[in-house]
Amino acid sequence: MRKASQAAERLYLLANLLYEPDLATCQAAVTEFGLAVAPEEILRAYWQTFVNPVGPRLRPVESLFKPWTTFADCQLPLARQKGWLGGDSAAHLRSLYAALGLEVPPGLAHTPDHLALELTLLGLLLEHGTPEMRATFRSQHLDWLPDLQARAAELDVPAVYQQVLELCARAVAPEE
Amino acid sequence: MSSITRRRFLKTGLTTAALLAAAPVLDMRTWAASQEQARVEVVPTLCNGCSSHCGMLAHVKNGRLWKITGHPDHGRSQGKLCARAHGAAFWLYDPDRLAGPLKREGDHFVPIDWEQALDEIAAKLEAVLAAHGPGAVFFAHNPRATGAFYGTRFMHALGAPTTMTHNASCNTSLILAYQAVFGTTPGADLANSKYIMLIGRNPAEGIQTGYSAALARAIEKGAKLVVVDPRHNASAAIATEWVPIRPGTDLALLLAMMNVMIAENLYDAGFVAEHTVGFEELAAAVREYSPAWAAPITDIPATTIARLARELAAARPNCVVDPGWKGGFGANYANGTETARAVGAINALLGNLNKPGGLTFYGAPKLGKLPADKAPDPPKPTLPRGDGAGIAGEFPLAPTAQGLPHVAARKAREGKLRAGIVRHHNPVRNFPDPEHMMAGMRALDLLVVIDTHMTETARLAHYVLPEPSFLEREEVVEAIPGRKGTVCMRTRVVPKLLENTRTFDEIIVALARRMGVGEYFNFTLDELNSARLQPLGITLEELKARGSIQVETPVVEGMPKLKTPSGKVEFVSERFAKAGFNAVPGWIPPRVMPEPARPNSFRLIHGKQGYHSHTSTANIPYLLQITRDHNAERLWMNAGRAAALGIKDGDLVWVRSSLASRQVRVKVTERLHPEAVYIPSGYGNFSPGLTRANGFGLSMNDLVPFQTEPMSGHAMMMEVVVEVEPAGA
Repeated sequence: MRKASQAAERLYLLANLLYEPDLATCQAAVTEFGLAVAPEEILRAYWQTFVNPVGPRLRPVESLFKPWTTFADCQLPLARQKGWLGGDSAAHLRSLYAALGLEVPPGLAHTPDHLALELTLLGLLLEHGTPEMRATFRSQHLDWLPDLQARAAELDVPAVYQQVLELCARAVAPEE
Repeated sequence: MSSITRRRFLKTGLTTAALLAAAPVLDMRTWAASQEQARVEVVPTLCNGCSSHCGMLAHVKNGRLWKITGHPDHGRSQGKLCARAHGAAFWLYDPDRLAGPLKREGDHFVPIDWEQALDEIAAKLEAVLAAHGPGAVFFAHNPRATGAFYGTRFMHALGAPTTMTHNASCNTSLILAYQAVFGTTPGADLANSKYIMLIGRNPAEGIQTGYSAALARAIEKGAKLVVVDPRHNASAAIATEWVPIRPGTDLALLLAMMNVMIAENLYDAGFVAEHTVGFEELAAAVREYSPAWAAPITDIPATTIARLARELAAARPNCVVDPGWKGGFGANYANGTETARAVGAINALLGNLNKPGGLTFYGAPKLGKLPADKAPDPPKPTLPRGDGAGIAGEFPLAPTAQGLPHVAARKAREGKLRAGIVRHHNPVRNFPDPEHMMAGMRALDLLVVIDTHMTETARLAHYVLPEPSFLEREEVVEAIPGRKGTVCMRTRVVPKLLENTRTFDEIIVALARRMGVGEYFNFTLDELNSARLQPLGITLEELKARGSIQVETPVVEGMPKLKTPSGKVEFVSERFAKAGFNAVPGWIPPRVMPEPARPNSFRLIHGKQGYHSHTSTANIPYLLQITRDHNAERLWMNAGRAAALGIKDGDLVWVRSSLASRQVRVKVTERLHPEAVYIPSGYGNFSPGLTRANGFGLSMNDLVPFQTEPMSGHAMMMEVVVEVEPAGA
């Protein structure tokens, strides 16, 4: 139980690094994961990677990395394309959060399949769920991280966030 | 593990029991099965793929857009949508969208909250008003009902006289010219025409689906279609005859055709006698413009010019010289306004006003107003405009409802304009000479851009305020003219995807209240829309449910009542004469011409493609892929000229003007006048915030200098000579 709780805490910390981290979060991450950068540098890297409104930025959102929908009756031209918000994964997770009574922060309301939320949900499943639930969630919603890492490399995002994504990939790996 | 308790993004009192209860929903397959059976709702709204705002039916399932189709009751779309509409649907789910308000800090933006943004903008606007007066403030937009109502009303409330639109890069010539000749801008009844002459207009690519369908119906019924264009465009592909005119000389063709019609008594003398003024002056003016005179100017044989005039006249009154849009003369040449006046005049000689197949003068459904006792209009500003439109000594004839954004940029550089609000409009990319336009925007003390994406203009703003996409917002009721008019409105199709966006009316009302002019905005959008619908006997609930409703509009059979000073068609314009221009249309040469002695000298012309709306759609990958599949961003060059320069199809070339040098690949073709090179107008975005369009293709605006046509002040976007040479030569 203690081990699960610790793993969940690590997931929550990684989630915090992926959405509006503060200096304390960055400091905690440096300590916990042995990141070889100053916390202030992580804040700068976060802005450059995820925020910069005038340039290409990394969007750690599942919908963007999967076909928008698998429903055959959708006739939008984007239906089978990748790269669009609000896809099946977003719609599913929005329903799931509602069913579980989970409240999403306003800034992430349009991306219920943001990696920060998915890591948090996995943490909750570690604390309260069953191995079967976690296996299902991993296989259906956390199978896109290699694509996210490839996109991060393509955009040449700061090394610390490439490292954070690698930590995320390891943290969501199937349980032994 | 650190003992620091991190934020939990999913606030919860989650327990294992709750999780077990919800376990089936956790599995996406179970969720998907539950979604499958949901009903598809059909929600009517208006497209935003271009400015036509065609009626659209959005098919929505489980709160997600599922399909779009054309609204059968909308006069423009008539049940059909074009490729741009299907592309525009992508905007809803576009990760490039602006997600929240941004403030410039140095050379970058930082996110801020709405209250801070609105407080600061209001304070800075107040400071500009206090220091420089309301004459130093402007509003610029793509003119449709919501911007026209809220933006203009806000400017009036502040006492600011300068509201501008994109039209000076589009069709300002026509608006001014037809105002002079007819008192309004006419349409054309293509579907019932026996003989159609399109001069630069291209309904097959500059698409309004209803208009394109009308052209097709006319051809099916046996109409003769003559396309006068330096380029064999997509409309020419279905034409009876393509007349490859020298660019910039449409006016000479029209003057010579009028010369033939008058000299040979082919015009409608009865109509002219009864319904026009100034015929004698026109006849005298065109006497010198014989087909033999026009032939070397237009590069069209004199016999062809005379034949076209005779054919047109033989088909009168069921024939039309299309009034055009941007095409050949809307905002392109030094003689653009004069050309449009000549188009008006030749149609009057044909006596085709309100005749089947001729010019149409349909009214729009008459909308109501808010009650004056409860919501009085602010007084109209009395200060002179800040862009020179309507100002003696500057552009006295320029239509003030459209204004001159490119001149406004110069005024900003001179310190005469100090603050501006720009909505759904990208003047930095879509007017010539981006350095000039950027310098103007940068010179402002305050630039606020309201848009859905980080456009080239938004990049220069002090504040960027995000609107919801067109599928997530409700707007002001619109009225569309037609034999049957259409009353219609944009409705909210799906819930807002991006919560931290606000609609234009919300933004303007919030600013007005902060600036002490909230009294002019003491109503809701619903109340405004209800008031607009009131005279039509249609309730707001009904319109929201149906989206577009056709209503009977008074149709005048026979001669329309014209709003010219004489109430008749005016071949002669006292207003033009007073401003120092020709009283009746006469020859004005283009401002620049390619140099015949230089083998690499060309005029650069441009036009629209059927799957893009200038640069606003280039960031939609569905549409951009069409371009990529066909290499359709290339520069067209006449095959003979290309061979002489040693340029082969697909070669990379330099295109150089007095302003800039750019590289682009070439499409070698027989379908272009030898003296022109042609570039499609939909490319050349340079904002990194448009991640897919950024850096793709070339814009003619990079090469065209800042300049103004003397009559209407438009941007003369085809008055540019370029030199083309193989890259690396």
